[in-house]
Amino acid sequence: MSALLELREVGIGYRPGSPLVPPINLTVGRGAFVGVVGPHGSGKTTLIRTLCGVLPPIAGAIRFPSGPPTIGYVPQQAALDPVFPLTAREVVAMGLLPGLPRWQGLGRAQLEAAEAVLETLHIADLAKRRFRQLSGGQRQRVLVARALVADPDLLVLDEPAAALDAVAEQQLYHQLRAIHGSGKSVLLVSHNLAHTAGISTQLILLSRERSFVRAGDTGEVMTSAVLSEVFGVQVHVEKHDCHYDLHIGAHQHGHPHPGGAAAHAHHG
Amino acid sequence: MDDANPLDLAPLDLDPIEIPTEPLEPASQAVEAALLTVSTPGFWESADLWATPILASSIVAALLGTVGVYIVLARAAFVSAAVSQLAGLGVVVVLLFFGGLLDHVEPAARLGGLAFGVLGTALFAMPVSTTRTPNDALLAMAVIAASALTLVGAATLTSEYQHVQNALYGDAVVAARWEVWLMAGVAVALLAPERRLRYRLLFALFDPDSATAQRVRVTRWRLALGVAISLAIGLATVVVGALPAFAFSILPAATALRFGLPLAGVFVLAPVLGLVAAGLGYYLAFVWALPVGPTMVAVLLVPLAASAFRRGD
Repeated sequence: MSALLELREVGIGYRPGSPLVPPINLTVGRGAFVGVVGPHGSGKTTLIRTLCGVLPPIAGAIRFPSGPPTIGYVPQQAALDPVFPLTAREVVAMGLLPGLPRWQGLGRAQLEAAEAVLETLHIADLAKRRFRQLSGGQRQRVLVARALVADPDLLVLDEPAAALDAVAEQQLYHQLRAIHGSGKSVLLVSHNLAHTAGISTQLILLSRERSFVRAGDTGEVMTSAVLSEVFGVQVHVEKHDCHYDLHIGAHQHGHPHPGGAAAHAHHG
Repeated sequence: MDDANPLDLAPLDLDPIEIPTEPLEPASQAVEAALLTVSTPGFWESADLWATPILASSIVAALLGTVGVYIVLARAAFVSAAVSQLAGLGVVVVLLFFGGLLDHVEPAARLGGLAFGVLGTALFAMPVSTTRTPNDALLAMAVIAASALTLVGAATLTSEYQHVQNALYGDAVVAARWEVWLMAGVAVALLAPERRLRYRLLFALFDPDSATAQRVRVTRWRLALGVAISLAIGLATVVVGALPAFAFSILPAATALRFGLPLAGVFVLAPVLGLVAAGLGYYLAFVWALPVGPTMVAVLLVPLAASAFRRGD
């Protein structure tokens, strides 16, 4: 598996000299499914904004051995302003703009391409509806469609399940498995270790105090020792063929309880 | 030479004038009405008086109607207010410090207003690394400061009072031909590429993180939009005044968005509303002897009020 990107002692944050987390080292291969897991405020979004080029790294280097990958990005929905009178297919078609000449706007061909992706994701009926009128789950799927419409090398999703109910969340993870199964590299940010570890090939774990970062293959990170250190509680991990069972022990002084972060993690 | 008649003029043989002692006949009343009409000509008879100002106002309205959609969607209404107020301050500053030195005070004052407007936008575009004061509060402070300084400066400019009033509240009634050409040139330069760049600009405003991740140069597009906004509002302010410029940059776009139209419809309706307000406002101001700028703004309030009765989507 060739490397898509390499993180070497990467520091993330907003001011040089004040990194939010310790340096991160990780090599992400093509076709990998990388989960970034940590509680709210642990620096997950800052990390992926850095990986996507929205923020510059304040230390270290991010390398692209095969050249900069094309990225499809799915932001948190709360960041999107509902005042824009855009239809779902217009939102999706925006994902094609980077591949068009600068002075070319969206035309019929781009809107038809957007509708084709919506059809692939079984939401063609949403094409002409206002984006702001859609439910949280529908918006999320439209944003996934926008991220996929230009056939990117890497699909990045920032807390995509944050505004979803349980059913919509399951549908989303099912969809992500299918996308990954088609050969696409995926980087998923979540605070839900149970779901993310179940579908990831690599994990980056961040702690609430931003004092711990563990990055590596999912099997290497999902150990009792690592999880106990990151979450500050005794965590016993049992690995099965296709999932992990996590058992929470005593709460260590000075560390927050992981809450829902540690539970049953199904793999594959 | 006759001493009694040194110019040797023959005495005029005039009939004595009979002054009517009875009330005027209806025919005479019609003549009097006609004379009154000649002394205060009607709107259409005064086309040479209003053609240029209305053309200037219409160009401003169409340009700001379109630019205003971006201003409203970017939630940058305070930027618009600040730019227009700063442009008004620029007029006062030029009059205050250079009024006695310049031969052509009016154009110089207007260029000063434009310079202040553009400078103000450049300042707003700079990143502000403070968490103590939200951006909207900073802009509000700029509006307040510019307004106060304008009024303080204007108080000392009794001889140029009309210039200041025009800068603040609108002087579309006296727009000059060079202003029309300048406004038309800027409008063409800004509106010609707008349709093709529309979705790129909206992508940069709607979802800047995703756009950046997809290698869209968000900072560059937002800067280009900021320059376009400052140029349009700064120039519009010196042509029609701060109040109308601010109103044309906000009300048509906000009204069009409130009607729940699709994006393309919003970009059509907003400039149309501005054009109607410019023409109808000028006409009503002429007929009823009202101030032109505020009357245009009042006309814009009618569709805005009507939009309140539309059910939301």
